[in-house]
Amino acid sequence: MRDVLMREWWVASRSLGRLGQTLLFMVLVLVLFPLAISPERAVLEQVGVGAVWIMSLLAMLSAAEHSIGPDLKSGALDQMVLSEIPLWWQALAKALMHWLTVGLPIVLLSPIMCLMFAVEERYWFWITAALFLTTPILSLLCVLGASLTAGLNAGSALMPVLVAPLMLPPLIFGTQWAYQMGEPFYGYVLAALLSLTSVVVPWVVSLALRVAASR
Amino acid sequence: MGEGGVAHLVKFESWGEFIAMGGHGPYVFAAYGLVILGLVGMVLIARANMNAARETIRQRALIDEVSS
Amino acid sequence: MWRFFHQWGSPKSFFELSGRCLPWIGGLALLTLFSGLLWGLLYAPADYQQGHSVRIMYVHVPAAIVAQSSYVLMASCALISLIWKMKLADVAFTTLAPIGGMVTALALLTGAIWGKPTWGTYWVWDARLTSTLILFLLYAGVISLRQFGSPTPQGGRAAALLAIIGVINLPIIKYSVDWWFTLHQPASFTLTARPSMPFEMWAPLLVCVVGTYLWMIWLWLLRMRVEVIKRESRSLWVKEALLIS
Repeated sequence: MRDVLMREWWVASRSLGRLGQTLLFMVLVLVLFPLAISPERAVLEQVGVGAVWIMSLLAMLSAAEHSIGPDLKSGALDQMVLSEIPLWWQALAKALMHWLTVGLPIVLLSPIMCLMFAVEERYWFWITAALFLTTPILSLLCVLGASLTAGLNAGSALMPVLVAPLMLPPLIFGTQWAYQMGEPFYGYVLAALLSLTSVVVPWVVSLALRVAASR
Repeated sequence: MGEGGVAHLVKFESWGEFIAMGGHGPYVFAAYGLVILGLVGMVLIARANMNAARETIRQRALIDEVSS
Repeated sequence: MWRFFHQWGSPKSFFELSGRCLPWIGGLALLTLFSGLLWGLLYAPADYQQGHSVRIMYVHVPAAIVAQSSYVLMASCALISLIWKMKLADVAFTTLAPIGGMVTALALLTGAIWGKPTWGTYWVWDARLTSTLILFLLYAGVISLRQFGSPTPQGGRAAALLAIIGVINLPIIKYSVDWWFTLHQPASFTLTARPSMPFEMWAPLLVCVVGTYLWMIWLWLLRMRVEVIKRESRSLWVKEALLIS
């Protein structure tokens, strides 16, 4: 079981360049918002929290395909399906790696993003905390999306469409938790969502991976 | 640098004033420190790369010599 | 004139020539930078409005200037590499990109640090900082793309094209950002002191700018030399130059 984690880590660390690209993508979106809307503080403050969230979501989606795609191409996926190690563990490992390479950097960078979006300082901690809770959920959902569309020709365009509706609840509750400065109710909901997702999604992903391997 | 002769041109009355920079001390020194770190750092890294490349080529030449 | 290019155009003679120039350029760069920074830190006057924080100008403005001109320089090397397929042009192009990127990052960071005492916040979306950020993105793109190609002029083609497109875009981007910001911010923020700078301010600034350029060339030559011996490592002249029997 530990070998699976090691392997996923090895694959993920080979593509640290992707991490750089994801971060660059985020900076790019960061620049687009003020230029397309307005750079004035008054306006930015209103959209700031939401913008940070959208940026994080898009960044995570853009890196999603890489959790499964390379394995499919290299044939490693077939081996995974056939091995004794349960596929749901593989899925969990993939989600963990996705989170470590994409989600965690987003969480760590969120204070800087808040700064650039002129978000009031009292929100910063709660935005970081909320991202910390929601990004794992998003990672799991990204792996889900990637596994469902793995190997399809139009897959990479389809995946965000599939997964985005699923991402709405964490998005809604995450932003509300931040806006309400840590109101416990939303925190509980998020924790519940995380538990639910981490149990259900790996199982569904294992089914999807079998389908993908047979393509 | 002849600072003894032009000491009276320095814009600060004392070391304390210099460090404080009228309250902007942390910012000024952070900025200068960052830049100096970056400039010096990149040169040192380039130098280290040169030495590493030298070593690699030397090793390879030795191996070629031994194996031929 | 062609002899000049020919001399500098071959990796071997470049290596020899740069080896001789290097101590001079390095020494000059260090001297100029040291005296310029010291001048700005100690002897230059404080600003009427900004106080002593205006001294950050002596590191921020040179960084910003070198960042911009390095991109143009890099794109020129890219153009030469694409058209004439000169090995050395690709080396120059590949090695300058990260330097430019880092200097842009320094300009951004020092700009943010300067912003705090000046405007009360580390980041403001104004024309200057925004276009510096965009410049950083342009550099990042070229650097990332270059990594995917082999260390040859052919391998650098995609990145070279990107750099050339970027440089053509640069004035367009600057113009649009400037124009847009005059619409949105009638009072323009400027990170420098008032436009008519007294001699006591622009003189150390000039020294710092010259010093930064010299440093850039020094670092560039250092990096080019490393890249050259890496690429030509199989050649006899490399072994001789490194004093390997």
